[in-house]
Amino acid sequence: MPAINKIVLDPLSDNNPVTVQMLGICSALAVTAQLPTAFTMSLAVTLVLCGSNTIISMLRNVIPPKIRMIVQMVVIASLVILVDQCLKAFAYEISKELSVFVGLIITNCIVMGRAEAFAMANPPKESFLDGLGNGLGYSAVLIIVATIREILGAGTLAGIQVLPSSYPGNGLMVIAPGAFVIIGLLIWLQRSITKKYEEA
Amino acid sequence: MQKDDLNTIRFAAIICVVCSMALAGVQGSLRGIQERNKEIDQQVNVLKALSPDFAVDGTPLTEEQITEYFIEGKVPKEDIPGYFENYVSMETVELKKGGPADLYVLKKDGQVVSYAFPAEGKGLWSTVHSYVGLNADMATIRGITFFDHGETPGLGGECSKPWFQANFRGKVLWQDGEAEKLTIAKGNADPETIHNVDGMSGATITGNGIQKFVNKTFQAYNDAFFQENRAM
Repeated sequence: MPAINKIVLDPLSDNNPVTVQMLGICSALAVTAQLPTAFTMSLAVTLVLCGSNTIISMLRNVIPPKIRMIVQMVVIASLVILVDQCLKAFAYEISKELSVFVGLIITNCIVMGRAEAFAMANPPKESFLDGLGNGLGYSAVLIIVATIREILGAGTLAGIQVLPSSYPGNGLMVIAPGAFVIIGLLIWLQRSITKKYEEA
Repeated sequence: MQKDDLNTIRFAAIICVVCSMALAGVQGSLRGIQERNKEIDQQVNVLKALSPDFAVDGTPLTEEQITEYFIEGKVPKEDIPGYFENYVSMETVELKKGGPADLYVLKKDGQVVSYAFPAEGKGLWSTVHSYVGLNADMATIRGITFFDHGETPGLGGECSKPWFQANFRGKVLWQDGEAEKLTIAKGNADPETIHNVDGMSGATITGNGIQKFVNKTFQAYNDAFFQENRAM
């Protein structure tokens, strides 16, 4: 079994779910125009990942193999709806901006991927940490991308003006293709530092 | 039937029941708060149109207070329903097309301060919802608010930002017995006109949509109500 700190730290860079495994790209494009939405989304995904990994790991020995994916889906969907309802009640403004993307965490491959690849084979504690690590890895990418996009796109950071107000704002950065460019550059940067590439 | 098939069915049944009970419980206990959020949000939007500076009781709020109310969403949001009930009344106007429609009236000491009516229409991607507020002259825009839309963030999505909505203030929709069609400029408005509004760059279609539905809804309310109640 992998060491505890490796479970948490590995997904931050070496095995990052977004930049290395290329999962969860859709939401990384959609919610990263501004920092607050990216932060809330990160928090929501991390909570869902920790929760679903823990629950599925606890059930791993009783889930009938034939329907295991459906069971994973039911657990994940329930947790996502739970988070969505809480956001609507306690963070209404942000939940309006995130709109459908909270619901779409259900289809985020990272969540299902970790449930199937890790939680089905490991005890709850390790699974929880695996969820936490992957959640943080996802969050790190979202927050970096959102910071760059918001500064270049609007000259603000979390709504506070950081560039001189004469800065006109870069229209490319506020739309999804801008996020593609940033994520691409991020992957390039990461791989040229870690020197880890996949042989094509 | 084999034994593990039975087990599979039993497991599926249990997990479905447990999950749906849990969700039903959460939904039931949060519904009150969620509905209140929606109601406050709607009232904030009506108030933004009726009186963008919240100056009903004589003392306008400072810029910081407005930021707290509208942008950061901080409490004293809880005060809004009270504010709403104390000053705002709702009337029903019979539109020629489309039947009865809401008209919000802000009154202070029995005197009408402003009117607001809901307007909505297509932007580029989505339906943009709006409230348009007019001064007591039923001709000058006092405040306007766009909300609940799916326009591109940073481009058409800027319509829900205070800077864009502030551009509409003081624009005239009706003068000397004739409609003055509101127009949204590409870039800066022509300062010579009274109904030309600074536009959002990169969002021409959202702007055109807004221009169209604001004019159309104003026309409908004008025919049904403002026309015959206007003093001059």
